[in-house]
Amino acid sequence: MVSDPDTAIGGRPSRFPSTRASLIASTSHNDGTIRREAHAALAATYWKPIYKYIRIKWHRDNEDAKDLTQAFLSDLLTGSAIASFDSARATFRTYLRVCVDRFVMNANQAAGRLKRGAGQPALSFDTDDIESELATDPGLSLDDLFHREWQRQMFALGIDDLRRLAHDLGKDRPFEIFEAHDLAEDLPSYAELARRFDLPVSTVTNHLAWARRELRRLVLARIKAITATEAEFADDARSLFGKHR
Amino acid sequence: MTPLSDRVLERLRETAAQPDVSGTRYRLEDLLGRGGMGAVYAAVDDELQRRVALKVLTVSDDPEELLAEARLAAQLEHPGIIPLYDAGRLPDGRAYYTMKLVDGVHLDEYTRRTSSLSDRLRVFQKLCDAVAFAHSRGVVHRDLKPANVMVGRFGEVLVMDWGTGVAGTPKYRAPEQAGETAHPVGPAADVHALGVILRTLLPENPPRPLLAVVERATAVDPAARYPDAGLLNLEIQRFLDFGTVEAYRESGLERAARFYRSNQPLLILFLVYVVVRFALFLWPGR
Repeated sequence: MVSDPDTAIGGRPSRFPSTRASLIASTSHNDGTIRREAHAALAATYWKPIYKYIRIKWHRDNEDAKDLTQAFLSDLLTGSAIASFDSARATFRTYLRVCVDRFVMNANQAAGRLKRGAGQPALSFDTDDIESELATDPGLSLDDLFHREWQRQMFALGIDDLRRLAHDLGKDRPFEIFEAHDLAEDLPSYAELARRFDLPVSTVTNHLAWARRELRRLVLARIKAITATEAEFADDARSLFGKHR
Repeated sequence: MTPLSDRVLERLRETAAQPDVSGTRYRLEDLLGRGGMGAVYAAVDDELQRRVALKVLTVSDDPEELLAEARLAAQLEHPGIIPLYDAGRLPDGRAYYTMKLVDGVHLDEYTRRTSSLSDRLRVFQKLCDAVAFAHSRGVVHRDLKPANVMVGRFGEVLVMDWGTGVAGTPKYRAPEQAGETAHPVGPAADVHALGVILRTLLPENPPRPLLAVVERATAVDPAARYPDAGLLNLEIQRFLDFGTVEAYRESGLERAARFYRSNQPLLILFLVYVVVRFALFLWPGR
């Protein structure tokens, strides 16, 4: 089997950097920098699914959902809820949903008394693009909706990582081709892209293969970082790429 | 952040799951099937210019695992066990193996297309035969199910995915695989799965002896099941030959009916003989 030297970037293919000390564990790390980074990474992964979930399940308007999401994440990351997570009992995503439900119920009871952020630095969310997605969601169950939004967010973050990686490696062109092909609503042909970028078709397909391979690696690295156990990682990865949701 | 529509998201999921075969001797054609663990593609081996089936796991954190399974399957040379051609790692780090691309259908599709019970049972016997061979070599499949059994155009049966499903598939797995009993997982787990498969091959109102066979094959206690797939096969043969099915205690009437069915031509001849003799006896001119 011929190996592609590109895959050596960032270590052996399919092997991940040893960030296995999981973001979840890092949220209560003694080192403030590690703790803050872990908080930011968890918030980046989950705010969108949580926001949409609150919008739809709890019928909250945009501003309300935004505030609740922010308050929930601050509460989760600084309170005891995350420390109570037991990976043997549920996946982190399932646990998170239960926590969201409990939080919104409590917030309902304490309406008006909710102190958003509770002295924590405010998390900044841009919800403009999500509002258009809300209208197009098919009739998914709430469970499926949360899962689908998690999938969407993982790929969106992976694409951001890929964009940065491509830029750092001077591979902006392969990323542009990937963007023009895989991220387009209507799929252009390879020949069309070859004409547009003035490249041979084989170069277009090679660039696409590189981008897809790296995207997969980067998304898996993100999953690796937010899962608590190997089994949870494998389950999440399968549900992201496999047949099952 | 790039907004992703549902359509783009699905495309990304699909392309990210696709094995990266760039720079290899293989070209992907179609996705043949995808399960929770992995996917099988029809591919072309450009070196040997033949079509193959390429299996790759969705996540292969430990590629050695799949390669070990491939090595295990490669040791099993039997007409009922799918032959492996090649195994290795793809540029994306995932382990893969290639195998014969069978021109046929999965067992569940075959069952939908075939109404004859005896044809279905003969296919089941070939399946038992392959499993019995593997057991004789010390190999347990652990995930027997219709999706892992191909029936070819000429009625040949090929069992795939040896040793990949350690946990088994809920509908087919034995209680000991699910951790419901403390028994070790061995050949009896495959016998259990064969029993469940047999049930899927039977019509809505199945013959009682076959139901008894299913019951015995799927007993909770592994010791109460057929000791091996060969004996299960033998039990099916007895049913097809109108013999006594060991798992079923039949009534006198059923025994008589079975005796009639198994000796029907002889009994009819005998009956004709008796009638003719009687007629001749009563013939007035005699």
